[in-house]
Amino acid sequence: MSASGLVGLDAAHDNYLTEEKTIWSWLLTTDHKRIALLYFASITAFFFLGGAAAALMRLNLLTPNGLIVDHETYNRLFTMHGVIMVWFFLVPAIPVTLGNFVTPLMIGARDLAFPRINLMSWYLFMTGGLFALVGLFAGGVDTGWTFYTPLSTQYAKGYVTLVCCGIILSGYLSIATGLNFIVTIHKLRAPGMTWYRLPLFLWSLYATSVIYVLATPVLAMAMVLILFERIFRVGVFDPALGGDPLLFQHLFWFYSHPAVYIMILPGFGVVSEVITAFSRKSIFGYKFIAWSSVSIAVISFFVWGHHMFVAGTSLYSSVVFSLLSFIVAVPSAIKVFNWLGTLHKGFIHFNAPMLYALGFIGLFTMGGLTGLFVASLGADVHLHDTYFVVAHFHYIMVGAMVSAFFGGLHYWWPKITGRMYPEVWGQIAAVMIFFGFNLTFFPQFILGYEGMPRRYGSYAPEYQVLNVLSSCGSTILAVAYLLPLTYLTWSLFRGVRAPANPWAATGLEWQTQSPPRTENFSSTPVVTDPPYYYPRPEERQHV
Amino acid sequence: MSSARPATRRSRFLALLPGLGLFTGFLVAWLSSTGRERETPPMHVGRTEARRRQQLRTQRRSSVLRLRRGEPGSGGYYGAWAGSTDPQIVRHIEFQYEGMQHQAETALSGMWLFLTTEVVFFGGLFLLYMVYRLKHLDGIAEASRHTELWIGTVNTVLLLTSSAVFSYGLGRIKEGDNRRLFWASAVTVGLGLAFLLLKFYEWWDDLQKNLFPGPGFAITGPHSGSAQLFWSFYFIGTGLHAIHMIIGIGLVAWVAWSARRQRYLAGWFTPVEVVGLYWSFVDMVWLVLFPTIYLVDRVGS
Amino acid sequence: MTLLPAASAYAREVDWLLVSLLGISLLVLALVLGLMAVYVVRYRYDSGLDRGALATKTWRIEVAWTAATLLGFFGLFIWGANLFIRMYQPKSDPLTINVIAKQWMWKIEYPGGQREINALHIPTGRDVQLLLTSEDVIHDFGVPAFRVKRDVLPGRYEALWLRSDRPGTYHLFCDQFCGTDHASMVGTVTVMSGPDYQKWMESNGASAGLAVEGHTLFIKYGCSGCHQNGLSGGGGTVRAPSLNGLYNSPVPLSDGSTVIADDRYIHDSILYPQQQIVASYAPLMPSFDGVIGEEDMVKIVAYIKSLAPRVVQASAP
Repeated sequence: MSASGLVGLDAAHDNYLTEEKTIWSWLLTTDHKRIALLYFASITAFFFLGGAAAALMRLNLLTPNGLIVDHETYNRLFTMHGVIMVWFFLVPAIPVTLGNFVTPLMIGARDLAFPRINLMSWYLFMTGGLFALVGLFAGGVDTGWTFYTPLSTQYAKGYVTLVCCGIILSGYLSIATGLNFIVTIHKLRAPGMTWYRLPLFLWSLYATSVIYVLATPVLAMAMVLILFERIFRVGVFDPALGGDPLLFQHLFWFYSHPAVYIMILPGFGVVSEVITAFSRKSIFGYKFIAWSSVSIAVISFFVWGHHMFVAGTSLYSSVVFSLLSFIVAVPSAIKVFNWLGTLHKGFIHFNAPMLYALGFIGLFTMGGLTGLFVASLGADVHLHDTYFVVAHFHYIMVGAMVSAFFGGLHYWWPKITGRMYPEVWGQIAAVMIFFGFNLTFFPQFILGYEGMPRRYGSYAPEYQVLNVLSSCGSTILAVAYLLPLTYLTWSLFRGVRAPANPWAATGLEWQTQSPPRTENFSSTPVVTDPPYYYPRPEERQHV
Repeated sequence: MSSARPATRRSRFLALLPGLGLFTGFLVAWLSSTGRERETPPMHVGRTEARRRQQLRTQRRSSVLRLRRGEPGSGGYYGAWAGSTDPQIVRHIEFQYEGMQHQAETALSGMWLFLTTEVVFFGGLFLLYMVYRLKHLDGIAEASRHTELWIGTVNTVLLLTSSAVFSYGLGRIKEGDNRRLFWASAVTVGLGLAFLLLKFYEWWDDLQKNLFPGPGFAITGPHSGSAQLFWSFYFIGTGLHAIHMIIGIGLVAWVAWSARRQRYLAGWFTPVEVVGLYWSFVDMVWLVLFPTIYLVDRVGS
Repeated sequence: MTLLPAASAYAREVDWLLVSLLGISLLVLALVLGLMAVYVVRYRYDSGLDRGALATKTWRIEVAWTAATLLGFFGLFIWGANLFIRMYQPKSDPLTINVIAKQWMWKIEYPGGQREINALHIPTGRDVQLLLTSEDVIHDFGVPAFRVKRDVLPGRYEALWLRSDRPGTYHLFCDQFCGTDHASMVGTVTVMSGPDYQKWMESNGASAGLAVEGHTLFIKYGCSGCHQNGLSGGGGTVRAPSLNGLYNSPVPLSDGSTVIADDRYIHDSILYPQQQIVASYAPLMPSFDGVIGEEDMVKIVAYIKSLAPRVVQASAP
């Protein structure tokens, strides 16, 4: 893409990091780039906290009778793992870190539409996180992250109220961020940046933001109803009063199913960016990928019932939800085929981001295919609430999504920090994550088929072998996650200084210096090229 | 335990008041936005000067009319000030926007989108109500007859009037009249506070009548359980609405304070519009809550 | 680690579905990973290969693989939905066993009056209907060997159908998180052949039968005070509906609708009598919620079910 902005400075001159260095300039910043870094710090902390809970869980599951903790503690551990990972890591992850940083750069804007709301959303996130952490550490919650009634409202001991308040507050982060992105993408595009020239990362973010805005309020209402029941000890879902516990499940899953698409759609966007950059080739089927993101966002609102096939809903509704769940898998399949089409006849480089993207394709395909198993009614009745489901969603959320997050992190690391990460270590970590992950979660598919239920701190002895395999894998995975933490931190101080466009990629964000100056561009860029314009050798007039 | 009250002439009359208030409000807002000035007795001016003033008046009115109709060439709502280099306006434009029109449109889109999320939020609660009403019609109907219709009606009138008054204020600031905006906002705040006071009184009254769900609930008999479900919905719905009202009153008070300090301009009043949208939304929620709680099932077996 | 046994014909059908899904998944995965491997080697940046021109009009390929995917998915959906619907169809003349879930145990009550904790015995070759209900939170009755499970809800009866053709002992798990000892809420389902099952039933505390025990409770809890089991089956001093022949008969309600008096209706009428009032009767029946536990409830319901309509005799000399 041609631009009339600044091109290719090698050394980091004045940039958003050097502009002001006081603590208040960070805590009260409205610069989307600094806010993205604030989020990075919080997200990383939450990730390792949730990961620590997972490590303890896998350690406990080494023996059939639970090795290190009792049932009560185990229940609190997996609730903590779920709550932190879902609401404080996965739902925000890519949009608030990479999205916040890169979106204005990609569209040629100076900042997001509402910078102060952006800052407010970080504070909401931190406050919500604080509430949730206090609740989880003071004594914990033992309801599972799904908070099913009447367990969570009438029977659970623990700090349900506190954690639910934390979740509501962090939900406003989602709404604020989604709002910001939608309005920004509509209103602040540079001249010449038509919808069909937008990077696919922004199409995915747009679709994610639509889900943020429309689904999160329903979660807020479900949480408010739980709070009302618990605080006033009044039954809203109590069958004795004529209430319906299933109504809570409907309200909860109406949010939580689109929420899982919130988690994966930005990952799709990152992969589209990385695959094109490192294949030196335009994306195969741009419009199909763009519209598949939007169609996933729309259809995802109509499939929540597939979490309730055995819950006591009507046969008829289950059949309809099953059909829709199969349909929602189709756009994802289209994306995978299109990415392969992008690789075809490309010029493929194997930098770390590319390895993560390739790993994403493999792991996402596995996770998505196993989604077909649980979308199918006859199969789901057997697999529901077993380790099969656990493996399925971890393949998508951890295998695919976290790979995409790391891939995007490495891809944009030069832009964000002005430093290059050590390439070899990046490649080692990518490969290690792929193998560690598979060793951890593949055995769980088999465990699930064999019938081992989820949320069990102790299990029947015949499940032990597979559990041990899984726990071994989790050790490798833990080390693999610590690797980037180490070498990326190292690169902040000792990494090679990055040029403006180290990957020679297209995209407006690469047309400005690394790291960018506070106002991003010295003058508004004008866009004239199609998206992902990598001229082929036969098209080039000069070498 | 009071039984269902038949609809008296008085209650029917009261039910008409919101409609009247609405009509009045629209009338006032429309009148104020055409910029019709009150005729002042003319000073003695020379003919040239008088003609010039007449010219100015006609020009201003027509430009406002053009704006109001959003004709092409008027550039939309803020078109008259789109390319303005007036430093008073320019200093309100944030650095990522091309101009005032761009910024104002963006701010309004943001508020509309936020209001969409609020609709979905309250929608979850209304879904709960609809499901339970389908399941337990008798209980819900009986429970709703224990609500105080007069309080609900007065509150509706108060809220609708406040929206109308604020719209009047918005119309005035488009002419640059900060003073009238201040008074309109102040009255809006007053009406909002009156609403809240009446609401708190109503809650106190409900609690006195043991209408809070739980042990000792006032309605016993076959439909006690589902009546409690209705009253849970009542307290959650009116409670959430009250929280939104308090936030709205704060926002309108902020607008009043800013107007007092002559902060807004004919070329820049985006915060007033944004707050007006929010206030109208709070009003709309009440317009759905009111019939749901007070009117549906009130009359009949 | 042995493969999960299939205790019923239905389980084997589900296994076929799962195997096919596995096969299709492996094929697709092989395609995706294979293509990826081939491309990554063939089209690496320094492979020196002449790439040639790129395809134009790629939308044809796109539509083709989208249509193929949709078609395949639709076929899988039909197969799965068919299995699911068949599993939930009521069968005739089932053996009905009541299951009551409670934190953190399963209480099983047989029609013959036997009771078990955390163990279920069923015969081969017979349709078994489990009537599931919970005393507190939502549980889930899951038997992997049968490839079935169903959530167990408080205040509601859910039905689960089993029909086994292979004797053996199989795991029973609670499959919906229900609190602290959710992981301990496990048991066994033992399938026995017909004669063995008879022997087991007889030797295991077969009491006079649930219905007879239910009669005792019917009097103990004061039901007979209003619903006296007289000739006309009506009430005593209070006018109460007759219970003779009530089971599975239509009941007109005060709101104009008619319901069939099944197990659930009888159960709910005892615990929440105010929710459905029989037409022309005053809503006077007190609620026994919290008074009659689910175990006693099963017996009372069994007793009421046993009440056949009495023919009013003409007065005999």
